[in-house]
Amino acid sequence: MTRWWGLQSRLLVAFAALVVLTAVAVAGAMYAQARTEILQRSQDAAVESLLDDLESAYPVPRMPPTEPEMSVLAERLSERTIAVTVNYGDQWVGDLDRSLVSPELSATVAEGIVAWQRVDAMDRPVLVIGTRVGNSQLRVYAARDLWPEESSIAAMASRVWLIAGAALVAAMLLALLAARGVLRPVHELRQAAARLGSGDLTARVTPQGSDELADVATTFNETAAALQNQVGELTRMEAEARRFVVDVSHELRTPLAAMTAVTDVLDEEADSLTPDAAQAARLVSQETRNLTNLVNDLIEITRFDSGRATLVTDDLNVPDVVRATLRTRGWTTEVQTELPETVVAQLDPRRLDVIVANLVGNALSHGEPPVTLTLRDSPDVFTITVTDEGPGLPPEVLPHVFSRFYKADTARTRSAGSSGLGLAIARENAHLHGGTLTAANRPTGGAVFTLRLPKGQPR
Amino acid sequence: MKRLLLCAVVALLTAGCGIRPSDVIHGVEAPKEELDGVVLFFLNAGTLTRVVRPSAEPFEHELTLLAEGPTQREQREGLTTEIPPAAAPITQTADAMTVTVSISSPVAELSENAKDQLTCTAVPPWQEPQVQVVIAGPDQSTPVDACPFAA
Repeated sequence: MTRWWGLQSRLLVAFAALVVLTAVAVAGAMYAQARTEILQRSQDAAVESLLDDLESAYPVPRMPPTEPEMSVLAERLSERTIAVTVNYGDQWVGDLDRSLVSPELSATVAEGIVAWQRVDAMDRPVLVIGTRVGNSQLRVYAARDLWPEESSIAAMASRVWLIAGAALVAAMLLALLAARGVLRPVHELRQAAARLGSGDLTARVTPQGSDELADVATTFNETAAALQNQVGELTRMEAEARRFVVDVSHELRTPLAAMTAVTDVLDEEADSLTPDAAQAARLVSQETRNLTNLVNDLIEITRFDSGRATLVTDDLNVPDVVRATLRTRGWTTEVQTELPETVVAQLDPRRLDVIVANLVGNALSHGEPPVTLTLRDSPDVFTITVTDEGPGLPPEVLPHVFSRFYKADTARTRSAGSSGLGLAIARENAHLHGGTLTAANRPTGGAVFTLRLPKGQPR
Repeated sequence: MKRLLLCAVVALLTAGCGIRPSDVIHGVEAPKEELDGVVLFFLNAGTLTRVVRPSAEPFEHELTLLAEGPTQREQREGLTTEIPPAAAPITQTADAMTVTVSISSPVAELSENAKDQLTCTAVPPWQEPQVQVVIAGPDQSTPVDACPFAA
């Protein structure tokens, strides 16, 4: 995966900018320096040679000079220049184009100062040197071609560009190498982090070298190891706790079975006991049954937790199962039902029974009658809704209604016969079928529990 | 932003490439003209003209040569003199403040050009310090203006 503005491009741009800036600064400064030096040297040499030639032509025999004398002087000076003009007053003698002599140059020369100026003549750089002859009005202007200097400067410039370009390419390669060196560990680290995130706690990276990235890799490994340890510890503790619950539940079963037998006898004999003793006997009997339910529920939920819960599915008619559930619990008269004739689905009848019994039992014990059970069929799923006419679930309870041992009213003890695990077990059963169980409040008041189960084989 | 900077730098660099036209560059003072020889003043079509003769032959004084007039070759080149031949011999005396040029013909007969020829040859304009020139003849002696020659 390459990002447009990733580390690699940033490194490349930074290196390129660095090289370009350095090259421009160094090469530019050196180029300017060298150019100035080349020009200065050749200009000085040209001026000197002109003055030498001029001095060897002294003295000018006539002053004011005659035109032939001016041409003789021009002739003598033209040996080492490309064009010369000799000027006295209005007279201009020589082959130098007068337009190349700028007014500024002639003004400076008139002050008795040797002066020169670079001008462009037909796209060629030309040096025009001017001087006065002695203290007279006789002035000499000579032009010298700067083409050799131009070409040597151009050659220098192209060498500078070439070297800068080579440096740029080298810098790019270095930047790529550096980026690769940085990006490889980062890439590795990202993959390891992704593996860790998806649950593979054994994910580690190999730290390379001793740079900051290696430190990061080491820290990552340490963190992953610590995480693995803690998760392992937690898993172990959870497994132990679960096993403890299972063990306790199983240990309680045998005495409870015995107690149930005893309390059954006590129930039968209650009529012949004194009223106080009879009440106590019934209480013991009831609580024993509750305890048996709790232990059974606990065993059931530990099966879900440990993933040992299995579906024993069968093709069956859902309305029949619902009716059987209500009939067995003796709720046929208390619950209004809306059941279609046939809703065939493939599911575990025992678990459906548990769900329906929990929902209806919950509605009957916590809500207000009438409790209504509605079964609706659709192509792939069917829904069972259980509603009551009570005040509904308080908003703060709603998110926790399926939590284990959650008490809606902390001041109140658990209602008789409820283990506090019923709705949690119901929801686990729904999930096991690949369905959902949700709780909500109707706008008109009263709680509504909705069970949606797929009709086909889950998973 | 960075690209803009780069463009500016490149533009600056290319603009500064090659040899650019320059302003006028000032050098040393113009070289002095060494007048190696005899400097006389004649006339060229009525214009006072400085003539430098190579000093091959020994001579008495510039003024003597001036009185002799241009050589034949100089005459061919168009040089003339307005100093009358009768003015010879011409001599020169000097004190602290004045230079007196004595001629042998009347001063009144000298033209302005002739006076300038005498003055400039006696005291050239580049000579320092400039002193008063007096032309003296048999008839009178007249102070004259300094040499008007400007090269």
